Amino acid sequence: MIEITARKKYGDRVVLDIDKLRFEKGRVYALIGTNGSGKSTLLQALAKVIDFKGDVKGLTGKDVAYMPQKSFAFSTSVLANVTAPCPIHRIFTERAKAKRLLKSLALDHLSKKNASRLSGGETQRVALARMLVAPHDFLLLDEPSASLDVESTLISEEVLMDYLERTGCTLIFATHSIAQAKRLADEVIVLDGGKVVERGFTDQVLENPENDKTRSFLEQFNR
Amino acid sequence: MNAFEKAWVLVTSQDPMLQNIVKTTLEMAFSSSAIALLLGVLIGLVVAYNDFPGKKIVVVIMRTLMGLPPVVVGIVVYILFSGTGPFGHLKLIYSVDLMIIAQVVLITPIVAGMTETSLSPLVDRMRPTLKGLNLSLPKKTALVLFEGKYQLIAVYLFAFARAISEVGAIQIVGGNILNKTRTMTTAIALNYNTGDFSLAVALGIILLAIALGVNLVAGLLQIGLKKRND
Repeated sequence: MIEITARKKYGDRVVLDIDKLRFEKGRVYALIGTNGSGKSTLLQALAKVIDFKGDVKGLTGKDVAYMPQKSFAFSTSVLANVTAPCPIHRIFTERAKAKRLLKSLALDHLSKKNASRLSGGETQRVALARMLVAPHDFLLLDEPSASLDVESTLISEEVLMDYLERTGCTLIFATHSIAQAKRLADEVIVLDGGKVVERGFTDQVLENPENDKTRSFLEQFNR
Repeated sequence: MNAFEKAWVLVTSQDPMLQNIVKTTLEMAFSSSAIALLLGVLIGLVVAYNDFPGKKIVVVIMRTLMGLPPVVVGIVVYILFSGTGPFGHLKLIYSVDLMIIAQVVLITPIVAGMTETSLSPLVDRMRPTLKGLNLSLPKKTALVLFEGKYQLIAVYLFAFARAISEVGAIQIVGGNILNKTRTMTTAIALNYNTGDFSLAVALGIILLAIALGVNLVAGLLQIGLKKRND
């Protein structure tokens, strides 16, 4: 279990104001909310990619991997990109695993291509493969399918769920897709103005929201 | 005989004095630019990658040091390494080694400043991914250097150009001693002072030809890397 208390300001604007938000081991959490609600900042704080006031408890000795919204593709081959997180002495043994991952993400035909020359959707799938090549305790994904078409999204989700089943890893992801939150998440956390306005089981929050802001956010998708 | 003809005659005559001058020049320029590249890239990268209190001040200081006057560096290094200086016991005064040290002092801030400026936008784009992947420090460093290879080639070319064309500092610490510390630039300055303009210009032409050769090699390297990238 991890617990985060975080406050982050950009100038006078508070972008994150979280008090003792807990995440249980092995569960899947979807962060939803409008643009600027603090989803990405919360993920960045959990990954300690940004400085903030507060702390994340329970991360000592845990492996946390974070995939930003716009992942950087190194200008090496796609295969080398995927094996980049592996320790140097294990790169060659991990290549087989990386190749299998690329195949399952329908990227095997691109394995020798320069990753920096790929389209946005292809880059996002390569970045996901790069996350999944090694086992992690926590996986933090910022809009993992923002650049993907429907088919690629479903393929990626399948690979992701398979990974979670195998590793028992906790997944926390930000999404603008209510359908994706329904498909993947055990729990949904709704953010607004950097604060958690509602949290609960996926069906409960998405079908019977208690908070007005959650209701108005969900109404946007029903229009 | 015009300067070009004189330059041609100098090159083809295999004059031992000229060969020695060219050898000293190349030894000093390649060594100092390589050492400065190593130190400067390291400093520039550390500043570009990390956010820390006072970073803006460090950047301003680095950029100020890019304009270090060579003569001042020459005098300071001379004082430090002269017989009465703290490093006098090393007996490096009027040697190529000390000329290299002076050049490193002069060029390292330039390399550091240029590295910081040219790699900062790249590092900003890479940072979330690198941090998110929990990569080791050597791996992160290698990836940033690899992605910034074109910028670093340009930085090296500038460092080399500065090293091969500098005269103020090396004249002071090297003493312009024939067959020992005389370089192309100090020889040009000497010939100008003695009124032998055509020899000075001829040496200048050879100097430019060397710089052109280094630039061509670097250009070919860049083209080769780009082709490999595609």
